[in-house]
Amino acid sequence: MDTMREEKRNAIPAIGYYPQEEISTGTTLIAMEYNGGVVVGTDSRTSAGSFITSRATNKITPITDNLVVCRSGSAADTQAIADIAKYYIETFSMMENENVTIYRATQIFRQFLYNYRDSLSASVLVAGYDDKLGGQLYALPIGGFVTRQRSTASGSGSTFVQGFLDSKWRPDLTLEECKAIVKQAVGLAVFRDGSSGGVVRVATIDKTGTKLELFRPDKPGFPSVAPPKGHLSFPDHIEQSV
Amino acid sequence: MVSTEVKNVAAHMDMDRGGAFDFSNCIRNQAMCKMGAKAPKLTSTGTTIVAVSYKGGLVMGADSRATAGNIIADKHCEKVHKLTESIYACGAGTAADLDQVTKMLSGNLRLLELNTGRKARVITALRQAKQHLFNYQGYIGAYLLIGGVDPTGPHLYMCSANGTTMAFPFTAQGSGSYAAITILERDFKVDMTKEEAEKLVQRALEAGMHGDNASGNSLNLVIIEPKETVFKGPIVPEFCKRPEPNDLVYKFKTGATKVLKNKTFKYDIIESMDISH
Repeated sequence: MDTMREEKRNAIPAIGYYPQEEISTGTTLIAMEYNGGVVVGTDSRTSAGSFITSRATNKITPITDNLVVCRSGSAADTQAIADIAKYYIETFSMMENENVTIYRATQIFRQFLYNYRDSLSASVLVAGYDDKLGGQLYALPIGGFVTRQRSTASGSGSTFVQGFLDSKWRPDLTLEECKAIVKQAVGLAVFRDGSSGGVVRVATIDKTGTKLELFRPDKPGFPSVAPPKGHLSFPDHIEQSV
Repeated sequence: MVSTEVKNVAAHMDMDRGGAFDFSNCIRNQAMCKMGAKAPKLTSTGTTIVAVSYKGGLVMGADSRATAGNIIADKHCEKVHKLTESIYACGAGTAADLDQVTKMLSGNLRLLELNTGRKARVITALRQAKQHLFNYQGYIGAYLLIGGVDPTGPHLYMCSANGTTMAFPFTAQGSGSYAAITILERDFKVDMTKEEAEKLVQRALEAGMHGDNASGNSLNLVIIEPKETVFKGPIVPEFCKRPEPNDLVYKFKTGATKVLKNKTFKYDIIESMDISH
């Protein structure tokens, strides 16, 4: 067990220290590679304990024109890492007069996540496009481990859609197909996960750059799930139609 | 003379991290508490702070109660801090940390304005705050609402003690924020007028001050617009007023006391103490 975290949680009444619940992104992050780019989709809930601190958070942080990072875990830690990594990537691309590849950007993130693995609780998805390898998606869980994935889900909501994504991915997906799968996966995860919710944000990254989209629950296009009906043995007023 | 339990706690805690603070006293303090010493309490602002953006401007406000445990330590405490002419910060959390952090921010922003010859931006204040607070890993207990108007428009941000930041059209912070946010969620509209926004902030603050024991007494408002910044307060809501007048009249009829002797002294008053509250 990580001692720093343990100490953070313990109240020290002697100095009047009562730790606040850490603001964290109980999250749903979905991402998928397709022919020519990557699609990522997220929920927008940020909570501190049982309180929703923000219901329209943007968990997709743009780093360059064709690279985004999706954050989950401690909001403070992931924001700080994204800021520092962005600074490094900008500096490298200016010094070398060349865009930093997605793979290298991922390694920069990895470096921080690994070196500070004891004091960080951050996990990210790096998604981007470069001319060398096309659309790429890298998953970096807590601890600084990197894997390239064709499709992945991360955060508390990910457990509910792992199988769904496995069943849906196939080679040569089009952008529209890919976007539909990602959106539906976020919708399914948000429906079952109490720590995910709010709006659905979708980003598509291809050779033309990054496009961000927003889907609100009160507007058309939101990937809503039909609530399951109550059991037949329940009284009539429990079994509500959609 | 440290008990085994305290030793266990000490062995469990990793105190050698970072160079800025030395946490070894935590263990000593815990040991002293175990031996029966009374520990001093931190003055913490159980607080309600609220901010709302409207068409072309921003209204921010705070209550004025500072608490130390169950005691109201200060009834007229100033929680709306000025960072620049058109950037303000409302603070919740540890009072001393808030004073220091806002003082540091206002100093740095003023230097920036003098060096660049331009007005500082709200995002600059936010960046400084978040990087400072993240460095101290939450040990600086400052929860801030940073807002203002700069050449890029009105902005409102929240910055938590551990370095999380978020942008909002409206928000509340502090122990009274749960009550305050219900009012905001119900009545906030985009592109409100200045008067509507001001009323909304005041009502949200009053909800916080009413529903939260650690908030109350009076409220301060600041209305920030590109051209001018207006400060309003202290406003004392009806339910915060004392039921009976504070200063009772102890007037006796002249001659009620028999005068025995008369002697006159002449003094120069050098300093006087304000005892009005």
